[in-house]
Amino acid sequence: MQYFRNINTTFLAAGLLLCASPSNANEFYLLNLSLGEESNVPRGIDDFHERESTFMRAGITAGKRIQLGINDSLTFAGKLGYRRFDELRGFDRIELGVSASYRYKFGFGPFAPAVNASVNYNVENGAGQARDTEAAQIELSVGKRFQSGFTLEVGIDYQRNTTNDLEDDPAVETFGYDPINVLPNELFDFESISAFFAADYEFASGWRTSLNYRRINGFTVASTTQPSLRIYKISDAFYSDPAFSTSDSKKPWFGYLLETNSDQWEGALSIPLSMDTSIDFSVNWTDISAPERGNYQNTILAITLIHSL
Amino acid sequence: MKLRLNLIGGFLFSVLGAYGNAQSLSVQLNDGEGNPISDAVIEILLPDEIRSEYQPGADATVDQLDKEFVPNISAIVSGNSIFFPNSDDILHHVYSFSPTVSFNIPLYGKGNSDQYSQTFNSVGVVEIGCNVHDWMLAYIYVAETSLSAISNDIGLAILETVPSGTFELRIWHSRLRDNSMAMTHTIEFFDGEQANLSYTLELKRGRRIRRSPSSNRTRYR
Repeated sequence: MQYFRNINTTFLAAGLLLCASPSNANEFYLLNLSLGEESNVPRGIDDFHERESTFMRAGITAGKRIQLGINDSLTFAGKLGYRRFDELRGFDRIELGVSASYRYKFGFGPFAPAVNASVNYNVENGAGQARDTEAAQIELSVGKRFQSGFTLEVGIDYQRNTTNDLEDDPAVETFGYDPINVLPNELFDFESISAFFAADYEFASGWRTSLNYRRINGFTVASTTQPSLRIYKISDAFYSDPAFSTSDSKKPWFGYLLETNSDQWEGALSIPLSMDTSIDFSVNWTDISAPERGNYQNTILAITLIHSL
Repeated sequence: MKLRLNLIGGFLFSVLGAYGNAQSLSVQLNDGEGNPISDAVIEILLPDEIRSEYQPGADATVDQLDKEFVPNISAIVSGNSIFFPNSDDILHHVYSFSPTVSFNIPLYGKGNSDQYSQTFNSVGVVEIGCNVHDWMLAYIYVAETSLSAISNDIGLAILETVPSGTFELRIWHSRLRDNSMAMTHTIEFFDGEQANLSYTLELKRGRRIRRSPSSNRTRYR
């Protein structure tokens, strides 16, 4: 019920933001549709637990940009998204979010450097409560477009994930782990910080190539069919993974929260099809390092169609 | 009379001649592959003694519609004004930092007013932009006299009334390799004849700020 309340609050906030209509507001609507493949959806540590799946993601973003003055603007946006994993339906989720961004340009024109500050609040509703989460994020970045066609941006962000309190998991209790040192049930209760660097190059044709790097100090939720005391001792939370049902696997899956450092690389090519439509090809590779556990890798290939209404 | 010239840089002659009846001039502009070049400006440069006969010109309008300047290129005579109405339901901010003239019309919404205008007293090319929408770009060619024309979609620029004599013909395009006003050639006009000229221009690849959206970077982990 609390998640329904959270989602309703988010809807209400998004609606209010979009309904507020100062005369200097510039409305925008973006539709996006992605098809892709993710190589390690459950963040498994070995070949057996690395499960890949093709996916489809659809989303809509609606917002208003309010020009405050000559050099600064405020943008409010709400978004709704759905992601479906064809081979791992337990990981399907609905995403709902709102954001507010402030941008200040140091000068006139497209080549003036700009600073951006944004706050984002996102709710993800998955197969079971254990995979439902809310994420609040603050991001600060500085960027500049150069006449040569390059755009560079650097930034940092802080993200806090929270989740509903969960009832004790009888499946975990049956393992007989140390009853004194009982781990929290909530897998998605953690915080992380990241720093990122992004470089774009825009050709005269309008095609744009991008290279992004993000270093994340935080946590990762991984899953396994082989729970052990060793995993339990290095984890920060432990619970049955609702993404896998008994029909998916003979063995039950368990999710566990690990403190990790991640290096995330993304390369993309964006091709404009018209003034309002583009098609993007992207590859995202993440190397997740967990002390005492090892490394997880995940690769996401995607083709995304974006249209501005 | 046709001239085929490969224009890389230019040279300048100034020859005075007798001035007779009006003739017409048609200039065909193509690129190196034979494709017509639109939005180029041609101008006949007149000597001082007859220049005033072809002044002043008329004011012009550059609209802001669907987050674009319309038209992209305008030609006016120095001393005239450009009005910048806003036909969009959003704010725009017109500015220029060109050496010819710098001006700034701060944020304004939909509408048309005399205050949304600028007078251009100096001859030259003015590049204008919108500080809110980075991709918006337009050019204003400020000519000495009304003997200027903009080439159309088939690369044709026409002047109906040109005095006979020998004058300089100036050709400008925003993507000329030297992007200056030094592309001039000496042309001689005879009484009662229509002059038909054609030129091949070498243009560099245009680069505009992209307007199309693209997907954001991954934000959530």
